[in-house]
Amino acid sequence: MKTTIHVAALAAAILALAGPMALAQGDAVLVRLVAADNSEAGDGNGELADVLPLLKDNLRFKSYQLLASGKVATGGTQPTAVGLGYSILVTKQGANTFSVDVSKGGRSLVKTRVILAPRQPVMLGGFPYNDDGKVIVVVSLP
Amino acid sequence: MKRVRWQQIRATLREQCQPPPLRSADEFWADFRARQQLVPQIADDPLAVPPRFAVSWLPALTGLAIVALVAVLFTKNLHTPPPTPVQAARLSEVEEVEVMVEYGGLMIMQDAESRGTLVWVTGMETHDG
Amino acid sequence: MTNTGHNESELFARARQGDAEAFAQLFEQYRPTLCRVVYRLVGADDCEDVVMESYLKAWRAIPGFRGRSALSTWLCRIARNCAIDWQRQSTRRERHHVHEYESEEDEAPLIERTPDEQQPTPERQAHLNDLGQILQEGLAQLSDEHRTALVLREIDGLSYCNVAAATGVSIGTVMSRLFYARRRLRRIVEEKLA
Repeated sequence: MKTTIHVAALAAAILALAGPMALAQGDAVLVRLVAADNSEAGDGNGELADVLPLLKDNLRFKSYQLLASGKVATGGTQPTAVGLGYSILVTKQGANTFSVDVSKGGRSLVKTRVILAPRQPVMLGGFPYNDDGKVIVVVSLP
Repeated sequence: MKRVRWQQIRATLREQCQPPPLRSADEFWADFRARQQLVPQIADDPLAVPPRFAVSWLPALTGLAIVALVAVLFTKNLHTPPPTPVQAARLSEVEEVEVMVEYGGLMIMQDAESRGTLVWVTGMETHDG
Repeated sequence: MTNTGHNESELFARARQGDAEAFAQLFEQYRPTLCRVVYRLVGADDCEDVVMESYLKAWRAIPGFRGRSALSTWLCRIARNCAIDWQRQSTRRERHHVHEYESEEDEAPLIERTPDEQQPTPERQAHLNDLGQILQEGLAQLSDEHRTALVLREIDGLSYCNVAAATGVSIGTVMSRLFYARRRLRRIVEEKLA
């Protein structure tokens, strides 16, 4: 019995570590979901500092808010839910080359193939948000 | 005015405007190989050539051999690795975009100063709700 | 995916060293795309010759390929240059689409515009409600640049990079041409169907 418990505990520990260890450089991308609208919420969250200049220079929204953020693994076959009903499927296709499939409600909306450079996010935008806002999916190397 | 979905237009165009069938691969590449022998490849920059093509160094004299060894090691440090078909871009690049729903327009903006790339799709019809 | 990448890298390295077999294995996957591009640029008669010429040029130049673009994009660029050279050298000017050769760009058309299509006969008028016929009329009304971009992208399924390489313009220009071409074609179709 003790042996069984020890083996189970060891297996659980290995599995718990396997997740983060598996997400080594190149096995995951960082995905951020950003809401852009004309509310007076302003530009909260310091986590958007790297993308705000480009967004503000090219878009006309008053406010940019980070809704969700997380790593999406590249080896899966099923999309990862990132919030607001949106899902992302990321597949690695070469050195720093990824296909990114954005879907909502099980329906694919936009498919892209991108080459990500370090500290250089790619922003996919124009997805509807509320009445007058848009959702922007920001993809970057972790 | 009757509205026509773009998917319908695209599907009809694809039916109507197909290119002629491809020649078989075997036949094509046999033809290519016959002609390729007459076409020399342009020699690459010698600095990019892998080390195994480097000039072999004279053996025998110890002093010269040591100097040669140091020179080979120094030269190897100058060599860049053979280029791979895909190299990291200075700016992130968007190689392809496919919009799967009805939409109005598509823009791709690269900003070297902000160091970011923005893909913007206008008029997306997601038919929510 | 990783295995494919390693295989491609190996084939690429061998092709650069003069291995024709490796070159063939590496580049066969791009032949359908290349054939479509060349077909749209020079038509059916010269397509095979220009495709072969493009591959021979790629063979000659591959030792100097530095990977600044994808191989398919590089090939499309070569194909475009070959098509332009071919057209300049060609002495066969008697084609169905002589009308297109009178344009300033001197590019080969994608859809042949024979004279009788410009003035619909009563019989043709009866068929105008058919979407296929309407689309052919609509495509003929687009400029060469807009039609080329539209066909390469929407029919041949080329990536934006490859359309840009095949037409010798930037991706931004491809985007704007496609936006205009789609909107114009849809308006033509909707007006005819109304």
